[in-house]
Amino acid sequence: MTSMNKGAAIVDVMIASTVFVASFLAATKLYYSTFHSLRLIDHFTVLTLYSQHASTNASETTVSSMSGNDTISLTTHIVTTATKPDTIRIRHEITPALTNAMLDISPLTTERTRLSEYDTQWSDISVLSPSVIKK
Amino acid sequence: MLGKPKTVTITTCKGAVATSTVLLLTVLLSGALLHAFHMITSLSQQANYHRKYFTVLDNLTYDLSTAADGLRQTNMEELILPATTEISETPLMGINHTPLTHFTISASSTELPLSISQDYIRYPALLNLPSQSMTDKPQKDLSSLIKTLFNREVSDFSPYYFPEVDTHTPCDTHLTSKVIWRFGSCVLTLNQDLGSSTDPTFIVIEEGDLVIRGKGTLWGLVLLLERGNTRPPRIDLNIGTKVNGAVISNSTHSVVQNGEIVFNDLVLKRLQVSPFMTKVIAVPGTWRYDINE
Repeated sequence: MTSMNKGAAIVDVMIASTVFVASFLAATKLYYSTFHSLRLIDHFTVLTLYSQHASTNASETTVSSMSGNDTISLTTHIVTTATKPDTIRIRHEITPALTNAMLDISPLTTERTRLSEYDTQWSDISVLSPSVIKK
Repeated sequence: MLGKPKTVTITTCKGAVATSTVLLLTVLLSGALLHAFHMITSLSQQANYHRKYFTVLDNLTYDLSTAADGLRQTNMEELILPATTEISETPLMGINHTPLTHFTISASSTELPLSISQDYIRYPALLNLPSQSMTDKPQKDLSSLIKTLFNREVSDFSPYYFPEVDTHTPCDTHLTSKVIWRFGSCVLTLNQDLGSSTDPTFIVIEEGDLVIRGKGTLWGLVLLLERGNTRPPRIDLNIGTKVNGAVISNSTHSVVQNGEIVFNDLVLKRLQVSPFMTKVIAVPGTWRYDINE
């Protein structure tokens, strides 16, 4: 093999290696981004369940990025509905940030047993007329 | 003689270009590998951080819910809390002087710069006190009794409504629970008082009669709950027995009253604020968490 042929073979090998490494990096980045987003959704699920600890038919909006390392920011609009006395249905309306639109995160609907061991409803407080509550 | 140096020059140039290209690609590959190593290390650290984050968040949330549950039946001063949990309390007064308490509970982590907080309202399960006239109301008003007292339709009113309730103990045994939910008739034989003026009890009798025998006094509230499936309930008090508090029903009922029913507003008020009749609810939208990087 001439020196030119050897040089061309080396160049081919190097190009193939570079393409391989670039593909590996892109795949890893995409995998962790997706994984990270799923964890973030889980994070909001946890927050939602606890924040809606015992109330029903309520909604709230949460906007947050999880940490300084994150590039992911989600807005969740949560609507809880009492379907049964011990069950709440939670609808997550998630708006991904532009940088994460490629992840195509769909809204989640979860149905969980209410964490409270007894029946409480926020309307109970309304019966007690919060408009006249005084210190 | 003139061609040989030319061949050497071209070959040398080609070799130099190839070598430069190889060196350049080697540098690029090394850089890519270093970047890959750095990124994987960083992502690994981030994943570990998130695992720790969720563990800490779970622990903090547990502390928060435990504190809220403790506040249901214990005063803030008596509650034993983790050092990183703080509570602020604001006493409130609802309609008809109903005692309410607003709590803000916050918990922070010593491992991560993370803190969470949530507001709660403590309120009585007996939302409104029954009045003396409720026992004599016509049927159309009685049907709304459960809604008035507990903010539930009759079909939704169940033992699950109360935080502490006994649905298993028969009425003919010694009752110690504070809220007793009995399915079917309840025959009480009182050789001594059940409850007291300062520690009253609450009995719900679903689809059944109330019969009291013996010589004792029942302190507290008895509710005869009818769901419209059977005959009207009956209240039968033997001579020498007494109910000090109130007996109410959401339907018309018959009374065989050889004993005595004394409406006692003070007993009902004490029942309302009893720890076993107290509930805690999270205020929607008050969940807050702070993480500082």
